[in-house]
This record gives sequence, C-alpha cells and structure tokens, in this order.
Amino acid sequence: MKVLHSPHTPDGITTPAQGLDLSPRNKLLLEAGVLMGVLLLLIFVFPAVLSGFRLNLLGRFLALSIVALGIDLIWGYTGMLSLGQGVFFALGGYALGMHLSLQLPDGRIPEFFSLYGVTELPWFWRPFYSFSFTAIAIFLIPALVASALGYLVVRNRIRGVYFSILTQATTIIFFNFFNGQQRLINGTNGLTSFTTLFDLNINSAEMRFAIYVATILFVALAYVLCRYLTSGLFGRILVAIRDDEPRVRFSGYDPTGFKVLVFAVAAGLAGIAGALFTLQTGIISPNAMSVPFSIEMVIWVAVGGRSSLIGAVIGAVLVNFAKSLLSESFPEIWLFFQGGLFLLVVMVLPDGLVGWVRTQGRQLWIIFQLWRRRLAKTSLA
Amino acid sequence: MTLLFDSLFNGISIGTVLLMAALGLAIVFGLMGVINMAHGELMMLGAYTTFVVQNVFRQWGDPWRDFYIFPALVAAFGVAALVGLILERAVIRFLYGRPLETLLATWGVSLILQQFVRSVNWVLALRLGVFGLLFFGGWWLLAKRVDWPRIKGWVLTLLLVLSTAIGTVGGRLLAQTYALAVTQPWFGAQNRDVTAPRWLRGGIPVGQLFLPNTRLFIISLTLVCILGLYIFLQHTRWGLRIRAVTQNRAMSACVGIPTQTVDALTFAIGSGLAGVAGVAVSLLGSVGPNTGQNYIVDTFMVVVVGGVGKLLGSIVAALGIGIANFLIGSGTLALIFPGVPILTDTLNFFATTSMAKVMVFALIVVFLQFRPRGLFPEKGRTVDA
Amino acid sequence: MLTAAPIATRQILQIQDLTVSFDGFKALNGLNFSLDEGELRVVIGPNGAGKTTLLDVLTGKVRPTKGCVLFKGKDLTKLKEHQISVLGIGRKFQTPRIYQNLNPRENLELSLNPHKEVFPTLFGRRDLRDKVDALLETIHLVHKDRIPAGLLSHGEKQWLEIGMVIAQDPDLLLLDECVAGMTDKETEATGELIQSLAKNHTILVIEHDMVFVRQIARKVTVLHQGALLCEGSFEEVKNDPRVIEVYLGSHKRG
Ligand SMILES: Nc1ncnc2c1ncn2[C@@H]1O[C@H](COP(=O)(O)OP(=O)(O)O)[C@@H](O)[C@H]1O
Ligand SMILES: [Mg+2]
Repeated sequence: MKVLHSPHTPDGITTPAQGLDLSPRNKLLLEAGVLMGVLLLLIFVFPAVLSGFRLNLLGRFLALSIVALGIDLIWGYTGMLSLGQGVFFALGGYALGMHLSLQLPDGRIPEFFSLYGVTELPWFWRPFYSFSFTAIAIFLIPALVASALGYLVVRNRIRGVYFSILTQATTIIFFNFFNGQQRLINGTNGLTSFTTLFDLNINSAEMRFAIYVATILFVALAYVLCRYLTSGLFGRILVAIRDDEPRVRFSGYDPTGFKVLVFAVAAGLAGIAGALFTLQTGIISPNAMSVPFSIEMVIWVAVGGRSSLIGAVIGAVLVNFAKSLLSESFPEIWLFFQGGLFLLVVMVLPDGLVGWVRTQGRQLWIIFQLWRRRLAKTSLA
Repeated sequence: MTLLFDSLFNGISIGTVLLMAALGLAIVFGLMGVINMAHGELMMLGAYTTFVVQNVFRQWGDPWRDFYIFPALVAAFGVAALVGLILERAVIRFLYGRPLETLLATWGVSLILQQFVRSVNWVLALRLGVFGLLFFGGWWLLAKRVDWPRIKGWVLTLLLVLSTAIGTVGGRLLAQTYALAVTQPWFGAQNRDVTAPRWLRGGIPVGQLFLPNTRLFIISLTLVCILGLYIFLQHTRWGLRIRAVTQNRAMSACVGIPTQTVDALTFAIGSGLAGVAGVAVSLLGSVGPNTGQNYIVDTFMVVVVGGVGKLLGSIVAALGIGIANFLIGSGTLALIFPGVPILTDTLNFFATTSMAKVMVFALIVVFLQFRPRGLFPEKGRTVDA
Repeated sequence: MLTAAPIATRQILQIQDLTVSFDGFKALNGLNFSLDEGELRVVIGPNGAGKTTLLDVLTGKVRPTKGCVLFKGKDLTKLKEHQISVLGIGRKFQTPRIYQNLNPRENLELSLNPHKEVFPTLFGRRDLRDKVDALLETIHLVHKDRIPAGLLSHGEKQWLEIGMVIAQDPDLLLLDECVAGMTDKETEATGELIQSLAKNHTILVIEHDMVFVRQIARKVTVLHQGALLCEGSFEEVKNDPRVIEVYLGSHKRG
C-alpha cells in the first residue's frame, strides 16, 4: 500500500501550504472564497465571452462533473470503483424526462405510446406529473437502487475488482431492460422532444441561461456535500476503508454502512447530473446506460486527479471538451485518444493533473526556497 | 423430455463458448488478481484471424478450403497470445498489485483494439511499424547509456515526437503514391462473415432432435481445451510453477521460480485461449469490432460465480449460466411450469435473450448472498489478510 | 476445568475445548484457556503453535470449528469483528497495521471515536484533541503527528498501533509480538508501557523475545501444536523439561 503524497521535504523546508501557515479555519475561509470567485466567474464572465454554443457545452459538461464528484467520492476516497454510474445517471435523466414528457394538456399521453398501441398511461408514470415528486425522485431513486445493490454486494465483503465487474454487469442489465421496454418507456428511442418546464419554453435563451446557472449551483452544492463527507472523521474512515478495509473492522467500525452510504450519495449525485444533462440535451435514452459511457466517467476523474475533488470537476470538463473537439473533426481518432488516455493516466499520471501540478509545484517551491537561502548566504558573506 | 434435452443441449453449447472465453480469464485472475477488460477484444482478434485464414484458404481452392479451421485455430491462438504477451509486458506488469488501475488500463487497450480493427489499413500498419521500430529501437539502444535514468524523461519524449512524426510523414507519402490501394481499410466497421467448412454445416439427428455440427464441434473443442489446460497445469514443469505462484507468490519467488516469466506465460496462454474462443464465436455469427463486448460481461460473471480456486468452478459456472440463459431466454421454463399464471407471466416477461440476462444476473446476486466468493473460493491465509 | 473463581479475580475470558481446523489441519486442538480480570499474561510457543490463530478466534477473524469462547460471559463465536471490538477487545497485529495515508493524529482519532455507527460518526460532535495529545505523548510520537503514518519507522508504527489499541479503551488488550523490530531501548520502554497499562486493563501478550518476557511476565502460558503445554511463572516454565524439548528439539537426548 503506497503513501499517496508526502509533505516530507528535505532540509526542513516548509511546503507552500505550511508556508502560508493558515489555521484550519482560515483555510476553509480561503477555500470558500475561491469557490465563490469561481462561481461568479462562471455565472457572470463566461456567458459574456463564450459563444452560445460553447456555453451550452460548458453547461452540459458541468452537469457531467457532478457525476465525477460522486465517482471521486467512492473511488478516490473509498476505493470502490463503480463501472455503473451511468445507470444512476440515466435513472435521474429518465425521472426528469418523464416529467417533461408529461407537460401535456389533460387526458393526453406522450405521443410515442400510440406507436405501440398503448392508450393508458402506465401506473408508474403518474407520480411524475408532480414536479416536487420528480425533484425528489431524481436524487432518491438512484440512491435507493444503489443502496439496495450496494448492500447486497458490500455486506458479503465483495470488493475490489469483484465490485467493479458486478457494477459493470448491472449496467448491461439495466441497458437491456430499458432497451426492451418499448411499451413502458419507448425502448431504444428513449424520451425526447421536451418543450416546456413550469409552462416556460425550455429552448428560450432566458430559460437556457437559467438552466446553466442552476447547473453551476448544483455543482457547487455537490462539491460542498462531497467536501463535507470527505473531511473530518468520516472522511478519514473512508480513506481507512480504501487502504485496509479488514483492519477497519478491528477498530470497531462496520464498513458496510459507510460504503453503502457513500455509494448511495454518489448515485444520487449521478441522478442529479443525469437530470441536468437531459434538460440541456433534450433527450434521455438507454445509451446513457451503455458500458463504455460509464467507464468513460471514471476516466474524467482519473485525468483530473482522484485525490482531490476539484480534480474531478476539472477532469470532467477538460476531457469532454477534448472529446467534443476531437470527435467533431476526427471521429476515428477519438477512440484511440480515449484508449491512450486511460493508459497514460494509469501508468504515468496516477494522481492526475491536479496531483501532477501539486508535486511539480512543491518541487518548484523547494527550488525557490533553496535559491533564496543561497541568496541570503551570499549577501551575508 | 425432448424439450428438456433440447434446452440442455442448447444451454450447454452457449455455456461452452462462455467457458472457453472464461478459462483464460480465470487462470489469469487466479494468478495475478487481474481482470483483463481487453479479453473480449482478444476473442475478437481470434475471430478476425479466422476470417483472414479462411480467405487465404479459399483462394487456394478445393481440397484446402474445407480445412481452414485447423490452421485458423493455431493462428488465432498465436495472434491472441502474442497480443496478450505484449499487453502483459508493456502494461500490466507495471501495475502489479493495483487491480483497479489494471482494469482501467486494459479497458483503454480494448478501446484501442476495437478502433484498430475498424480503421486498420496499410498506411496505419506502416505507421505503427515505423513508430514501433524507431521508438522502441531507440529506447533499447539508449537505455544502455550510463546516464539513462537522468535523461530518460526527455529522451523518451523526444523519441515519441520524432517517431510519430516520421511515421506520419511516411504514411502520408505512401497514401499519396498508392492512394486507395493502401488507404482502404482491411476490415472496416461492418461485420464480416466466416462460413463454416462444408463438413461442419449439417447436423446429426438424434431421435426428434437435431444437433448442429458447429455446436458439436465447439463442444469438442472446449473439451480439448480443458483437457489440454488440465494436463498442462497438472503434469508439466511450467504448470507446476504456475500453480505454485498462484498459491503463494512470495514463497515461489524465494525458491527460485521466475515469477515474471510465469506471469507472462500465463497471460499469453490465457489470451491464446481467448483467441481460440474467438474461432468458436466466428462460427456462430458474423464478426465485428464489437464481437468481444457481447461476451465479456457473461465471462466475468463466470469467474465471479466459479471462484478462482479450481478449474471446475469455471466449468460448472459457465454451463450453469449458459443453461439458465437458454432456459429463461427461450421461454422453455415457462413451458415447464404451466398452470401457475403469475409464474408463467413473469417467466414470459423475461423470455428474450437480453431479458434472460436480467434474470440470470438477479439469480447471480442471490447466489452471491450464500457464496460470496464463488463455488470454489481461494483458500489460505493471504485471503483477506 | 472452570471452577468457581474467588470474587476478587473474576474470569474475563474463558475458552473451552477450542479447535480450529483448516482443511483438516488443526491449528488449534482442544485448547482450554482462561484469563482473570486485570491479569497480564504472556503466551509463548514455537512458530506455528497457533498463537496468532488464537487471537484470530478472539477477534472474530476466524470461526472455530468446535469449542466455546466466553468474554465477559458473552459468546464471541457468533459475533462479527466490529461487534467484538466494540464489546471491548482490542488487538495489535503481528505486522503493524496502521492506516498508511492517515497521520498518527488521525489514526488515533479514528480509534478514539466513541460512537462507531455511520450517522453518529458523520454528525456527532466530539472533542478528542486532548485525549489524542495525551496518547501521542504516551507513544512518543508528538513530533511526528502530522506526517502520513506510512512514513514512520517500523518501531514507530508498532507504537502507533499500540496507541490505537489503547485509544479503543478495551477491557482486554491482545498484543501480538509487539516488540519485533524494536531496538533494545524501545523494547524496554514498551515493557514499561505494558506494565503501566496492566494496572487497569487485562492484557494478553504474545512474545518470542525472552528478555522481554522476563521483564513483563507474571504468568506464562506455553502453546504447542495448538494445545496448552504448560502454564506457570517465568522460572517454572523456563525450567520445564517439556518446554525445553519443544523449543530446543529432542536432539539433546544424544
Ligand atoms: N487461514 C489459514 N489457512 C490455513 N492455514 C492456516 C491459516 N491460518 C493459520 N494457519 C496455519 O495454522 C498454524 C498456526 O499458525 P499461527 O497461529 O500463525 O502460529 P504462531 O502465531 O503461533 O506462529 C500454522 O501452521 C499456519 O500455517
Ligand atoms: Mg504468529
């Protein structure tokens, strides 16, 4: 078991963090300040400088970064590599998609039903007329599914690779299931052609901007939630479970509860992300549950750096921009590039971009300090 | 009775394909704790090799074209084993003890292999060749220098850029001179068909049943593979070494077993078996870049259910999953239990190939509640230390 | 065997006819063993005698094939590891097992936390700072309290793990070869620590180092091939012919 990063430096040189010498309280304030700054930047500056198309992309990718935060929570901190977050993402998307499909005059049902000769709304659609139910369901349904699955798997001490491939199987299963149910949820085609929300046109410029802002707020909220979970004693226990789960039992903790809880939270976050993404792309289909997409989500986190939450967000946005640039112009290259990215990140940059910047920054800081000392000595002489 | 026998036969023939695919995966997982996500792509390579060998033999005319399948088996084993060997040496051995990272890295490899068969043509092949020769040749030459560790980072970056550039330019030139002849993809994105040799096309009628020859061939092929693997593991020197390292890596290293070689060998054999499974798959349907993906999750489930303690675990699990898939998917189960409306309704709901998988997965999760480590778990102190 | 004990020395642990068999190999074979409350007991025995397996059973890691284990009157064989830990048994492993990526302070806090369920851990308010400081003092790690524990020396890791066990405030401490890899000075200090702990805890120590055993031992139990060989004071055990034979082999005959 390796030590992830050590603040140990030769010669008693302080690291930048120590150099600033902030109390925990002040550090928190600093972080909150930076977060606020980024929020303001995203909300007020970016819309002014980016084209509408790019801004729309940014909004989508920020929605995806919410899934990435969840993955970082369960994989980076707790050591559970889930290859099935796409399922929860899609569940959230479907929940909102059903609500959007039901924005109809009384007595009408979504058009696709007529293709299959269905005349009455299936019973489980009914609650989605209500927005408050939908809002809760977006988080809660994925979280409940994850808790059930997580409990059945985790309580038997199935972990590591086994957990990963079981979650991957879950993805296929849900994919098959949703694909096969034309009469209930329009099968392969999924739900689409949404027009209004709260009786407002979702394609109007104002509404789009509102959705963009909402997305940013949800990213911030998700960040704060994950930050809360990963700091303090609870976060320490997650790390302990990642590094040596059997030992944690002898310290008196039952890892099952902890793991199920974070898995459920990550699933709920994926659900929110799925809903926001669906709102911006206008479609949710079983493709969101495909195996490659779920595994792709993991690479966002790996690229950004899984030892930090901010890395997850940065990774999600960067990788997706790269994808949209590459697959627009050279669709062939994208798969090669993505495959290469997996290899590169795992073999060369295990701590991702943020980890790389950290170590490089630390080294630069040391060089800087040595140089300052030398300077001080020569000026003394 | 016939119905039962028929479904049993069909289930077993699904199961044997799974088994052949899972065998390689299971021995590698037992030895190194590594799940190879590119295993399905190795199968796919085996299937494409069959396609190539078939075309070559077809050109040679009549007596030959009926026997391409045997050289195809050898070639598929060879190609997949070689790719597996490269994969182990170039990627997996650096990730020893980090199974989750290995999972991701091999997934990357599987994406690359899928796209590779889609877009490979002479230009790409040449570019790869040139790149490999320059980059690895340069590495090999320069690694002998004393100050290698110091200059490593820079030199490798430089080599990477240079060899990519030379490869690209070479490829461009080639494409310009010969145009379509070299830019045409070898396989393309569409599926390709392998036609079984004539003697495999018919079937044997047994009573009211009809047993297709291809299925029988695949079943016997699986038997041969299992037998071969069993003899290799139990009665050869390297087999003994593999078993020793599987049980206790540190101790094996101490008594002088070259564990690195054992890893590489096992990985190559496991991959080769995937290639052979690919031949079987190519006889059952058309071959495409996604062929491997269709099988991979089922094979993973075989490993999960079978456990890594014994070969027998994989056998039982593969046959079990195959039979369950067929019984549920074909709706046979619903026919076996008439009378109970709720049960038949539920069973009919799941009576398609893809919905059967849903049900089988549910059953596997239930099974894991009783045997979380599979049928034959690994034993000993290292487990869960 | 278990005769009624005088009230002053109630038995905290009673083991009867304990057998653990791994595929037919009996790591423990009909073991009878008991500990009085407040006792400091040393268990010795050649490698493979089953000492670690005994601790495995006591902490729920291994389920016995046969026999019963009573701790404070409760049957341990049906409980899970964390339940046993909460019940009051703390274990230090043979090879130090600390959380490498957490620093000593965090390692100790994790063990100190009085409510170990999910939600109390997440929402509970606790002030463990003073206790952590005191413990760091005890295990001599005050100056290294903020570096990842994986970077500590072997001896320091051993100390940290002992600290973690103490932090759990168990009624019974199980220490498996805790001075392995320590210098003589560290070993002696560990002996002193154990003796001071023995004032208000029951402790079971497994040890090979005879100098150390002599330093701390009051009563010594010898295990051999999974069963009890003999029991008594250090001097008695040292001179017991059976013990000498087990340790030095039977070639002394010639
Ligand atoms: N999980 C296990 N599976 C098989 N054998 C085991 C297991 N655990 C312990 N053993 C065996 O039980 C015997 C006793 O081991 P142990 O309790 O570690 O001895 P000690 O600690 O006294 O040196 C050893 O022969 C060991 O190999
Ligand atoms: Mg021991």
